[in-house]
Amino acid sequence: MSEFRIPWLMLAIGIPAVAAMLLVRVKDSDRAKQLCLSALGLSLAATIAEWIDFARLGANQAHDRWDLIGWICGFDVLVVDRFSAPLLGLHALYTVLLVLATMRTKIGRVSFSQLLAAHVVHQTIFSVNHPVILIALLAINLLFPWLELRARGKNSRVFVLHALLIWICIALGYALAWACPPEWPLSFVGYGLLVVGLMARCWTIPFHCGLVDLHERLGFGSAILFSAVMVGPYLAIRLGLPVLPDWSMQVLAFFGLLTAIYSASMALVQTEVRRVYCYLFLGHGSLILVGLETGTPAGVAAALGLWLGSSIAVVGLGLTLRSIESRFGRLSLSEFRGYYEHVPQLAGLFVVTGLALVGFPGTVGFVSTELLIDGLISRSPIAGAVLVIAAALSSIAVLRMYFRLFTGHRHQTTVSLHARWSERVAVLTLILLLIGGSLVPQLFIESRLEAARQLLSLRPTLGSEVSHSTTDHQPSSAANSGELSETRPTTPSTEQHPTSEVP
Amino acid sequence: MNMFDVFAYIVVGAPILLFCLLGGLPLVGRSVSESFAAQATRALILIGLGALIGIVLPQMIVAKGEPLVLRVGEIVNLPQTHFHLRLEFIFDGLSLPMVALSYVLCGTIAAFANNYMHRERGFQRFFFLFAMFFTGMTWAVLAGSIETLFLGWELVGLSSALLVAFFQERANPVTNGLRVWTVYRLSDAALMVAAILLHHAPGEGEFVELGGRVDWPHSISTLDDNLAFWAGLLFVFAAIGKSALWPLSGWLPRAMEGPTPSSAVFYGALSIHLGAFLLLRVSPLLDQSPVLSSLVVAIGILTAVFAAVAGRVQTDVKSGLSFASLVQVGLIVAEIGFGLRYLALVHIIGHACLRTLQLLRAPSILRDYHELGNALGESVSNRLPEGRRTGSSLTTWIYRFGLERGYLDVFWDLFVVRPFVNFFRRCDRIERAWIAWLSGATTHQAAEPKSESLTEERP
Repeated sequence: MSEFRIPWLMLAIGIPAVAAMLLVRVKDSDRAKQLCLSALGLSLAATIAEWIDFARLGANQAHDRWDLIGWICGFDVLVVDRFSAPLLGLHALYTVLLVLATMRTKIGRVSFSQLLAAHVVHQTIFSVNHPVILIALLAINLLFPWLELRARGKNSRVFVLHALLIWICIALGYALAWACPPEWPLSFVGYGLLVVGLMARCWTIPFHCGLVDLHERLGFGSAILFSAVMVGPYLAIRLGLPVLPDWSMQVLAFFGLLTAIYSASMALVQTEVRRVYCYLFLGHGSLILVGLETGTPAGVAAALGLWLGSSIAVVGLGLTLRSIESRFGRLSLSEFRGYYEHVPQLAGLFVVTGLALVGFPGTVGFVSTELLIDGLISRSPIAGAVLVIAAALSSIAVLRMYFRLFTGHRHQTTVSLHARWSERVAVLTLILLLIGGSLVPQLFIESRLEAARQLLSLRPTLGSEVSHSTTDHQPSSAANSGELSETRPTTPSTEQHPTSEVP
Repeated sequence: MNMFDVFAYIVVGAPILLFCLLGGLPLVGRSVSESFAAQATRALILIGLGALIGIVLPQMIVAKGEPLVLRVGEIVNLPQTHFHLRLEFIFDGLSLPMVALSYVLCGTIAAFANNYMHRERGFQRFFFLFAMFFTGMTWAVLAGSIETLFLGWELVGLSSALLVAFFQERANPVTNGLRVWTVYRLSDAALMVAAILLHHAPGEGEFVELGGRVDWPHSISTLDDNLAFWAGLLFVFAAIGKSALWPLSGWLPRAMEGPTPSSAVFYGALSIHLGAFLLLRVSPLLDQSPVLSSLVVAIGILTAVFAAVAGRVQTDVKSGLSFASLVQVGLIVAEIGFGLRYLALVHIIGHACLRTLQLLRAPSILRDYHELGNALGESVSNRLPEGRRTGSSLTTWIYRFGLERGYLDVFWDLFVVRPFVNFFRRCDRIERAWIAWLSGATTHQAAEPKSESLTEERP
């Protein structure tokens, strides 16, 4: 395994961890925000450096040099691969922009030390491949929303029930799937539990209500981060993809597709902005599961591309809505609000990020969406059509929300409500990524394709074939590798023992 | 890169430059003045038109009608997965007249709008959306591949919906804008599926290959019958939505809520013909299937008859003109179904010019009538014949049918929108009850959603 020249991962995780501890004692909100931003900025710089270093190494996996945690544990704990390398930087960017765009009037309610601690946990999750550590980190990850709900005096019962279900199902399911030979009935119970746990963590139907409720009760910023980080799909890839048999992946994909169309439809009848936002996120987040099931490098690459594209758009749209909410309070869609004249820039940013979320042409999500539909239509035309209709309904929901928020009778205000520079910088940065990514989609998709091949090589039924296609992958032998990439093996993967694939 | 490429780039690049200029500056906090917006629009349209007339048209003449293709490049190319997105533009017997028409009419409308929209709140917004439309239209008609067409098609749809809702302080324009967007998006979904089907066909979505490398209008489909039928059917559905053909005609008069210049350029001249243009572009597929051709003819004739009936009883000039447009579009579509491609193209160009003139005259025509009447000393407006009008029950029924615009909106609202909304509202109530039960609350904080309609929204 290749080594980074400098322990970037330790820096990306360690700096905010130290800052989180220091911030516990800082009472002044302004100072806390500045310290938090500094720590996050350094963390972001470290993750960008890690990404560049990783690209220069040209390796499939890399870990830190002078890895302290690895030395203590006796194995490499912090490892990044082609799939997770960009996620660290992107997540750090989201957190920086979120803090940057937080209005001064709101910072008194934000616990910066907790925010940094959550950031540390998220960064660690994206740097870890080991299933046991991942499952442990999942438990910590689920603690943060609960702590915030408690701090705000909100009812946390729904979230606690979902969190318990998620953790128990994933932990127990993975343990059974790992321990039992595939022919044992208990292994099927394990697969079933793991599927239920992953479905619940990806908030697919029928577990989506947990996230909708959370969005209503949590602070908007925390809700955005909790959604955009997409730990659920990450676990599906790290824990599910190497272990689960084909039928389990099909169940995940089926519920993913169902969630996509259901959420897009539900977004159309909601009367509260946060709920619409949540359903839009649900609809697009669940498509990742659909892409994973295709089992082809192109399908998985589309899922990974959608992951990046939709998470950037989700954060951009969320920050825009949060900026509007911080000016006008909780937003209802039961009437036309007429905010355009007050916040014209935010209206523009809303349209761009909203349409990027639904994969409008000219944004980074378009190519991934088309690639996914392309892969899906060749497997199941009905599923492909459902996906296209879901995207169409989502875009109608986005424009409906735009009209409800920004059109209508204009109200006079005595103070300027225009977007502040920090809010503009935050959303414009994300828009640059959304549009910039669409200008060089080849690089973007190719990087995701490489990551997809690497991930699929872990899959028992596909490993040998995909690794073959990876090593032999040359344009001159395109026909052969193309055939491989589009052919899903029919042998049920349950015939192989998952333990052989467990790291 | 030869001279043709340079000037072809100018033709396709001028609109996108205008779009980026008028959209990018406000986004980074720089205001755009009226004069800047108008002058930039005028300058870039003239530059593009100059490139078109000066170089591209003569090149075509030198090439004796051979199509010239501008390959910008592959946006994405994954040979192992047989997936690619190609940005390319074609200058042939179909696209050249259409792009020249787009440039001329957009230039005319921009000049008109500069005065018409002067000091109007949202002048800059109008010109930005106009630039978006101009880009979409130019790209759609010049598209050499299905992906390029889709890109332009979507930009036309978005700008159209936002311009219908231009007068955003009133409820009706906004409601109608959403309705237009809904129809567009559903028909776009069909276009997207058709595009993906063509990816897997010989030629992989390139129109030159789709037409068997034979120049338009003599091109012959290279697809197998089954694929040609399904792809063709999806294209027909996309065209129905975009050109407001029957039974999705209900949005067209509603779209007249936008400013007159946008109504003229969208629903009189260019956008309304985009569906017909698409059918012309994929006409080899229609030729391959008699069923599809018959379907296109039937839809065209039905649209023309319906629009003629509805147009006779409209009470405002813009609605009347919109239905008059629809009659012609229906006839154009029927011509395409009959395989009369040149006739349809000439019909599109003639009709677009005439209707633009009529729509631009619409705001001032009443005033002119009054002035004329004052000069003559008597009213020159049409008078209804005196006496009580009597009619058979059939006449009355047709009258009501026309007045209610064929009950199309009622039909869609009653049988599609309302069941859909009611079903998901019920789901919403169930979800809220479920959350309430889980959270242990007897009455959940989130009350039931207020009853509201997606179609009849009031601010």
